[in-house]
Amino acid sequence: MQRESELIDKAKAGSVSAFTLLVEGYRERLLRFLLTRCPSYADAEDALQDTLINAYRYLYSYDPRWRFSTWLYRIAIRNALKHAAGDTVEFTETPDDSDGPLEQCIDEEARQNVWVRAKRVLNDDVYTAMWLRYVEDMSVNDVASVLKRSTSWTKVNLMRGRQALAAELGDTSAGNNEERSYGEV
Amino acid sequence: MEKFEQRLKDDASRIRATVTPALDDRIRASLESTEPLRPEPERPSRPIGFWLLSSLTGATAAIVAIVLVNTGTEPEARPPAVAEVPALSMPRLDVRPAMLEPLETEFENLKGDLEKAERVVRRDIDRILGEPED
Repeated sequence: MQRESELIDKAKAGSVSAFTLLVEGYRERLLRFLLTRCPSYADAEDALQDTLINAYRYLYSYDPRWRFSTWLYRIAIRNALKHAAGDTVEFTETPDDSDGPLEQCIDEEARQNVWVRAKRVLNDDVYTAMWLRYVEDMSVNDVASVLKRSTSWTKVNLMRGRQALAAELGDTSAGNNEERSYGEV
Repeated sequence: MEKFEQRLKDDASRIRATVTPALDDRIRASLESTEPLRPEPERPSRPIGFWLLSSLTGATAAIVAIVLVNTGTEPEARPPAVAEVPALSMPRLDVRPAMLEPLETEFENLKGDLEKAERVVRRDIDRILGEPED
């Protein structure tokens, strides 16, 4: 498999296949992430398409000092915000109000999914910070960079997010290990 | 890994997110019709002659400005405005007699002394020359 930097160089030169190969491993992860931020599945798909096109178009501005995924998620968040307003008209059957795209993508028996419940207790930025930290395994610094927040803001809000989520789940042990987690900046 | 963190990861993976072939085609078609942007080329640096010329122009302008400032006609010195003093009615003092009177007295004394000396000299001449005295 070609190295990421080689694929980036080829994509910068205009190779669509190199770019496709480069983002191959990110597409489903990005779509999953965008589902948590967009009002509908179609919006999440559109946001994914816009994210990849913008990434391809502005690849020259990518700074290799940062992880490629960090840069990609930053673009994804920007595109999710564009679609978050929900101004697109859905020509499909109107779903039940309680069913967002996230609920529609989770099996009925798994409706107690922690991310569905997190949507109810966390605001967008804290939710995203939690997702990037615990699902994407980003460092606190990378999460701060994606959200354009300070490291201290990220640490504090990750801790609060854990505590809020732990309280929602009735898991008292979940909110107590934040200090150990934040040691890995 | 901690149980809570594992649960966050597991639950995220339960969210079904599939890039369908239709979406894949759509993305690929969009990418094919997109050109990656190139960074704007840096503006070529100006030749050294340009900087030399502009430095000389600046220096000349500065010298001309300094010369003009220093040789400019000075504005006419206007006398300071003096408030007009109203004429006072001074008493007329006749100082002339007071000043001349001692001099005139002295002059008369000297004149008398001179006449007296003249008479003495005339008498002595006459005595020497043998003229009879009057």
